[in-house]
Amino acid sequence: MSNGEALIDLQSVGLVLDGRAILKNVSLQVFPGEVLTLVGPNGAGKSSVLSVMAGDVAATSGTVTLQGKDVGRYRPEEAARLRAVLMQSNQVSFPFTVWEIVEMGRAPWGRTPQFLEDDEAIAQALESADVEHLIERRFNQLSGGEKARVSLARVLAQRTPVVLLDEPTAALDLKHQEAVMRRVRQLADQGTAVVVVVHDLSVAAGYSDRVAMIVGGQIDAVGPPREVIVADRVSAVYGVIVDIEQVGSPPRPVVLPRR
Amino acid sequence: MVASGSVSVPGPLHRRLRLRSVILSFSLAVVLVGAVIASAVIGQLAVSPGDVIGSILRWLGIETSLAPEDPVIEATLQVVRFPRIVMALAVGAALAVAGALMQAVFGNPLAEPGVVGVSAGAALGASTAIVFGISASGGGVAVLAFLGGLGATLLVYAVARAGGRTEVVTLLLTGIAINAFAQAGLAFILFIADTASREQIVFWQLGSLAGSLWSEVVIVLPVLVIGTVLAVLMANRLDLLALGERNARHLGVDVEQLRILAIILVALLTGVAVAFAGIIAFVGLVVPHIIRMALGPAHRGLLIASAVGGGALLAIADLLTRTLVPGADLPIGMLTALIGGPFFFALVYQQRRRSGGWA
Repeated sequence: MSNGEALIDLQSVGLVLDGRAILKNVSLQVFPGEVLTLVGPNGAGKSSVLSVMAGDVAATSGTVTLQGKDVGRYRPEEAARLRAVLMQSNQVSFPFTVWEIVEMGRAPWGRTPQFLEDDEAIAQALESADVEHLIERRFNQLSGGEKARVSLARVLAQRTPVVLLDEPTAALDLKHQEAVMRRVRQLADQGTAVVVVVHDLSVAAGYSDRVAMIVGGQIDAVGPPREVIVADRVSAVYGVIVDIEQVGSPPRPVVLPRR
Repeated sequence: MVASGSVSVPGPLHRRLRLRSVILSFSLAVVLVGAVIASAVIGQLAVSPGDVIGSILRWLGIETSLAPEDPVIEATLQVVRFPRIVMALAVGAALAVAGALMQAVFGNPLAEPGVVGVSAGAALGASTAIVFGISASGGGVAVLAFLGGLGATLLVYAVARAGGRTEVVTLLLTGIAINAFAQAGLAFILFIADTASREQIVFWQLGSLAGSLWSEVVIVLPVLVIGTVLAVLMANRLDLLALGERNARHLGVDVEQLRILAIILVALLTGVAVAFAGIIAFVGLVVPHIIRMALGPAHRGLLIASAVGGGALLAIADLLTRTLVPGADLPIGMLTALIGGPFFFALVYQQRRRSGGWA
């Protein structure tokens, strides 16, 4: 998948917060045109990896580069044109409408020629996230799943070469989960570098080019789904005995806990 | 960018909002002009509307037959009523804009300079200036009021915020603490003051626009205009701040810089209003809230309409203070608190019901 230079490059990244080592020696690269999923137990540091990539948190040690430049050296506006971030929880302080929220995704392009794409980008994002019928509603009055999809639409409208998604499918029903992951796949096929945190290993296996298993702040394994999502590793990491079957063509691993 | 005219806004709701903003601007303008004329006409000395228009035109350098013949009327308008009206408009606008800005920074519609203690901080600064005679002309009082307001704002900001939001209870409790501290300071200042400045401070604290001078208006007006223009320039970024500070940063906002700038503006606007009009609470709470209900929360329209609405509200309130009881000039702070108190209560109640608790 390494067609071209890595858009995100983490080299031996360590992160210490309040004296606690959150990440240890994490090295990870993300290339244009690939979907990289981060999986692992709760509290393993998946969101922290995303925060470090986004430049929200400065790494305590190691280097983090975004398109060849230290991520901390970007002005906020420049960074916003390179990467979009979907966070786990999304709240809005005032009763903005869904339309207004999605339109905010275009803010970084305000004084650039790309602002001409605003209408099209918003329309496409609304459609991808299946929230066109909600544009008149107030964000605060939506259900959890609807809020998640509207926030995703905002991120998609931003149209950046790097997209970081923290559990985009957590609050979604099966239909929307599949639709969102198909859209993620499509983004990558169009050249975007996508990093997704996902809990469902079968979803991760079904849609990603590479999977990184994060355990205790370290990368336990990274590679194609078939190499990372294997019964022994999954059983050891999660402490649950699982069977793994290869389904579909090309075959993708599906994880079945033994019950 | 957000709310830019080039993006076609879809749907009946958004068209309705746009129509509403036109209607609202128009009604606010009518109310404003009506309040100004009524304030100029009504008072212990009755003046005809013709005299008012003539006097304004003369002031602008245009002599007309409307201009008042009686020098007493002319003097009443030019020296007493006009500066007071302009001061009411400016102070009301400053407080409303400060309120809207503060709510944006705190991500909470209950943030208001009076409630969270910024006004009290400014009052402490201003009374210190009065007692120590730092400046009689008003400049020193304004500077210390600004510093007091800034100190209080920074304190609330440092104590009450978590993750870019301020929870209602934390905000109000911080306000109680800061108000208590400022009251203690004021009590001490009153204690060491001589009788004359003591009386001056007590009446000034109640809030009043009586005796406004052009020399004071020329200090308030530039601060208001610059503050409002800067605030409106920040409007798009303030909208993004509603998504939370991390999301705002992801969308390219330099959050730290934006917040510091907004806080300085809040302190400036509140400080200058408090310095010359005393503590007038709740304008910054009531006005943006009503505007938000009518126009929605987008900050560009909210800030502009709040400035106009705040000015109109205070002009009307000031007219009431000097006409409700014949021959007496009631404290305007008392009047706004009388209306604002129940309003604030209703707002807290509503928010509590909606979020199901004191989150």
